[in-house]
Amino acid sequence: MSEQKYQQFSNAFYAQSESEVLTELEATSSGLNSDQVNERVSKYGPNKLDDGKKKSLLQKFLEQFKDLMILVLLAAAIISAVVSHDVVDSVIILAVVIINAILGVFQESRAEAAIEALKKMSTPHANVLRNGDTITVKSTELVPGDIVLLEAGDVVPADLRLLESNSLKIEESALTGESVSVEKEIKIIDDKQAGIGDRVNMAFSNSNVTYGRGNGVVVNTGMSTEVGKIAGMLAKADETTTPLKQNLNHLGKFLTIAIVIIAVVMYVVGTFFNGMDPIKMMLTSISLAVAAIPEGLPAIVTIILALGTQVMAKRNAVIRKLPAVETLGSTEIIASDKTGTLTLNQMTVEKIYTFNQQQSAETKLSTDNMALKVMNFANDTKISQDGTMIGDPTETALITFGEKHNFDLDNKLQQQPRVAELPFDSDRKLMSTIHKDGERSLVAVKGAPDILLERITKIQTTDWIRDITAEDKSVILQNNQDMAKQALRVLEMAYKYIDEVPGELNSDEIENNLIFAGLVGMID
Amino acid sequence: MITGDHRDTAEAIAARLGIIEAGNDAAVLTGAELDQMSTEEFDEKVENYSVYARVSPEHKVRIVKAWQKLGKVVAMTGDGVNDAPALKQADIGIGMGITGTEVSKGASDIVLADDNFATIVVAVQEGRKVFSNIQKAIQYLLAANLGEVLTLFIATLLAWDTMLPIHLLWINLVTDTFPAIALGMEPAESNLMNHKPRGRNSNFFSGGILSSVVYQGIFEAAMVLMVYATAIMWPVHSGYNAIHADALTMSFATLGLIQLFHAFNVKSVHQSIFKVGLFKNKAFNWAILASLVMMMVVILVPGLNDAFRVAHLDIHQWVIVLGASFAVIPFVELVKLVQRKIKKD
Repeated sequence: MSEQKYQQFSNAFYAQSESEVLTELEATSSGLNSDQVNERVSKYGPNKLDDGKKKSLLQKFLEQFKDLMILVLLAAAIISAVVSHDVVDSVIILAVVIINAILGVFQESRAEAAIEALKKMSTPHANVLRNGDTITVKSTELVPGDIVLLEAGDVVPADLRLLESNSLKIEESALTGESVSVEKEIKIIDDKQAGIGDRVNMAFSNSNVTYGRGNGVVVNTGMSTEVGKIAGMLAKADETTTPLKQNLNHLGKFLTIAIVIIAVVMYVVGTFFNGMDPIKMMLTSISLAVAAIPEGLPAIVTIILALGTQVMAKRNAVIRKLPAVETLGSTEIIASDKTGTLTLNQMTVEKIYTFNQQQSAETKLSTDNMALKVMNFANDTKISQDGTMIGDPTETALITFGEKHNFDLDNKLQQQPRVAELPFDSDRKLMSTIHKDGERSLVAVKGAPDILLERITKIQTTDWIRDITAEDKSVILQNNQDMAKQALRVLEMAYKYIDEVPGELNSDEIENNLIFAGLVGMID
Repeated sequence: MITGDHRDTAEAIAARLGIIEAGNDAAVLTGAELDQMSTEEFDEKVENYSVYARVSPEHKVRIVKAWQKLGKVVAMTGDGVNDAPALKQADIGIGMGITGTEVSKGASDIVLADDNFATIVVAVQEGRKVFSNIQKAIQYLLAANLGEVLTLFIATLLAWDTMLPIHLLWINLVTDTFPAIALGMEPAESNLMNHKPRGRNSNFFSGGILSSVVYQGIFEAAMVLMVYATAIMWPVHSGYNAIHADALTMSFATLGLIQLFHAFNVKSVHQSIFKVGLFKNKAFNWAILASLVMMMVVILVPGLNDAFRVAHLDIHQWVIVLGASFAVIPFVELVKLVQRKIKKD
């Protein structure tokens, strides 16, 4: 790999201020000029991932002949042809050797898709500021110091330190595994050990801008970007030999040595002690080599493995590398992701808490229960024609919970239609919807328990509504903690009635003086 | 279990899944704690941890390497691009079919179409079956190879005309091949998931395979040589060449047929074949039939038998050949019986 070909920056740019970064990169917020760009292209190289060394088909084919067993067979074929002038045996042996080599090449070729896929992710074009003008360039032409403009829908073309963020959100799941978009800010991050996911003032190559606008200065390009480092590691990661390969190699070596020894002993005994014809003895020795080598074995092992992959594919395990079938059988340690693998990537309601009562999700709830109503009303899940739910997993879980408790959402929404809403944002950690309910309007609020509780002034008891006490609040927090300890994700529901819906919705006004309805605990 | 969740959540879920006991805080390690450890320290302690919380994909490579240093065969799941190096490092990289990125799938050895952990267990079970069947195929083939080597070696010492490469290749590459592949389709033996993983240091010869290859190979050679000796001592034809042609043909036929009978023995390493079921594996039955035809064709069809330099055998000779070949079944059954008795005591 040519990682060291172009020296680039390894600073922790996220821990530096915007102006420090610009100074370091000898750049300005109005962009580089043409001379600087030309100079930097030759200094830092193009902004693309290395191709890596690829073996040609012929190389792969020739590599198959490094095997000792194959070499002995080849030697046998040649000696046999030279000594006996009868080429039938030699031709058969050669055919065996060649078929084996072809099988080997075939297996190898199926295994090289990873870096290809990385390259496909790369972006074709980027908007940059150069000489003070916005121009579109091929993303391979970006250099450190360039100012790149980002907007929703763009793929980030290189690693950037952000200079401006207008509600910029970037989805970095490819790099971090976290599927929720990250809200980008430009403030300095003091923690020099911050992981990629926590460097919110950076935008990383190959991540997707999902919302907002912003711009940033290119700090690293090509193989020096985070995604480039992964490409480098992929190319370098030691191809561990599978137990199967080790086993077959071992067996092959053992047999080869044994064969050579036995053949020599036999030749010596036959010619010198039994006085047999040396040429005939030579042929007999070759017969022996042929006899001792299980010529069919590699092909048979390959076929048995291939049959195994078919069975596994039927049972949802798709095998990409043949020897994996057998390696699987010897697996001792399975290191597994939790989300989506050990657990379904799907939330389910486990517990619900209403006034002084924590109960399991199975216990029947009245369809008039306000907690049930709020969690279904303050909810943006869309239900398609065939009944599948589209939306945030926590919200779909609440709708499913409502269905289980016979909460007829369509019907209730017809009676109390949604007339306004305050969408969720990460500062408030709340969302509210307002519903027409006869003369007055219902405000349904759901959100993070600690934050919502501060905005609550009343509590709904079993039969009436009264002012909330400090004791009530501590019981609620206690229940919240209790659920959190059981690995549940907790949301709180609250509501109130207002006489008139204001023209301009204001969180401080709408989401205050609320009535506590309940807590709900979900697990994934 | 590896997760980005907080420590408490991770611990609670792991306890629910039965990975750790509830309250076993010591088995949980966070990414930050892992960062504090040196590689040596972590290598020493890796066996203590079952749950990793707040980890990022970079930590996965460390976890895999630490286990591999202990000589373990490690499987690792992952779906992000950042998981790719860990997937490649692991002995088995397991990609996710639904949530996985193309890069992670590309670096994986196997991909779960349903993203479900239970599928890994199914795959492990299937993998063990495949290994055990490969072992059977190897036992079967190597017994023949050993039989051939010993036959040639001893025959040469006795100055007998031995089988030619063409005969050996016909058996190794044609008549042995069908049963060997069919052994790969044998159903799983019942106790497959009850024993411990065999680990990196085991090989094809573990579990009694090597000793089986040796005694079965010796027996095959003994039978073939005995048939050869019988043919020379009680010749049907006269003249040196004719007698030796008969003997060679008979030993070739014996070796070919003995392997066909022996294929039944190999169905189970330790169990009696009458318990395993003789004809349960349909592909196997067809394979035996196909090999039998291939064997007979080269001996019986005029023209072909010239190419194979074999002679025409009469009924008495065939009876000797068949008897010597079939003997492998009662013999191996007897040895298995003794082995089972010894193991019990």
